[in-house]
Amino acid sequence: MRTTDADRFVAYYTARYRPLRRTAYLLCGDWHEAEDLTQAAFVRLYLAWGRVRTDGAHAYARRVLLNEFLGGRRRGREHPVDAVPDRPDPAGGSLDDRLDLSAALRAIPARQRAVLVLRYWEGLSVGQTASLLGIAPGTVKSQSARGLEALRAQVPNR
Amino acid sequence: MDEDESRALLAAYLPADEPAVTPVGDVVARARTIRRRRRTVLASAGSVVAVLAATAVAVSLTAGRGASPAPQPIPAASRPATTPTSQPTSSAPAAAPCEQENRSNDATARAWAKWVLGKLGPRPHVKAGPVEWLRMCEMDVGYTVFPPHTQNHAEFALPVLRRPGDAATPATDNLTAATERFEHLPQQYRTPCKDDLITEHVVCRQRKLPDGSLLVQSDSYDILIYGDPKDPAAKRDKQAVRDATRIFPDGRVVTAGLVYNLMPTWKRSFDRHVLSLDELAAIVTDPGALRYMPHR
Repeated sequence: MRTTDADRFVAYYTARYRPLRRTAYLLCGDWHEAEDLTQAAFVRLYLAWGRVRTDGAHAYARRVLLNEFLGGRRRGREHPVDAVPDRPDPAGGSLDDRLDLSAALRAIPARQRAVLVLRYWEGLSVGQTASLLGIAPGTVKSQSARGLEALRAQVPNR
Repeated sequence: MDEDESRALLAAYLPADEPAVTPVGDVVARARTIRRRRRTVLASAGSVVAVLAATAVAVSLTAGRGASPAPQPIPAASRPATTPTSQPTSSAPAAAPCEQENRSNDATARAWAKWVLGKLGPRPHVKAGPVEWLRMCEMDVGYTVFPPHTQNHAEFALPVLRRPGDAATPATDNLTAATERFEHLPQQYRTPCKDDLITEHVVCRQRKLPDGSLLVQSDSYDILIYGDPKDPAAKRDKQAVRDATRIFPDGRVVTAGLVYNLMPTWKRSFDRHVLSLDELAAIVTDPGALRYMPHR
């Protein structure tokens, strides 16, 4: 990678790392796994940087992230936690609330979660979401509706 | 519920205690390691499925350096190594789980680089590149999974072949040579000459050597995709890669491969490579190479 390319990569990384990791968190409901997914996406992006360039980078990184996430599900990758951290919750809510939220996210099937995140968090159209996930537009619509319903049902006060 | 409300609902699921951003240097270092790995491991591989079944367990920690026979020069790759290797293929328990990647300027790696340089013969303008010992944990890079392994790795830049009338060029043909020790053989070494998302074989031949190892020689294109890899309309380009790889059922691998240093004019061409498939094979089939297998 040439110096100018490297500079562009660093600039892109600085700007996009957090947003992509948030997307990853919404997909998986766990910061550690989100970190793994995001790093994997940026590693792949770095390797492809010369041909992807900045304008196509986000689509590329998002696709890698999604493939890693769904692929990980297929491979049964899980990160069980055997103990909760013994420290105050900086988010302000109780740990129970936080665990409820995480559990609510995880309770939704992975692909349905992906539909929700792509449609409403990443702001993709029905067609783009369908194309990215390799499913029919009608399926995107029905999965979106069911996913939102499930989210609301599991955390009704949200 | 409109789209803004839906987004807000999702946003409510994001906890406020977001971790710090990983330094970009960490990610870049990881990517560079994979890039080097890819140049060596993605060489089309040998298939020894039947043997694999019995040897998919890591070889002993002690099955290491110094156990191979004295080097016996082999003049050409068409003459395979006939000396059975005495490298232990122990049935000792598998190595401890890989928890940390590591690298060092290892003496055996340096010796390996020197040995390879000697095999290149008297050539002008050969420039030595990175030399190191690597230990890598299992790594899923999307198109394949690399099992835990160690590697002695050496790179060299050689001037590309020039034809009469060619202008002087700084273009180089980059040789990566490695000895590797896998906990179990990666998939691409079990399914030889198989195209995948980023590899298209042009020539790929394999033959079993008398000691049970497999020699695979290939010219292949490393496919570069400009944009979405799944989009058939995305612009694609090809880089000509030449490799020879010797694969042992116990997880040891010796490999040597060539790739240009990003010269657009020649990236689709195999005829500028400075070494032939047989010359690469002569390097990887030389029993002397086995003296430089990486330690765990």
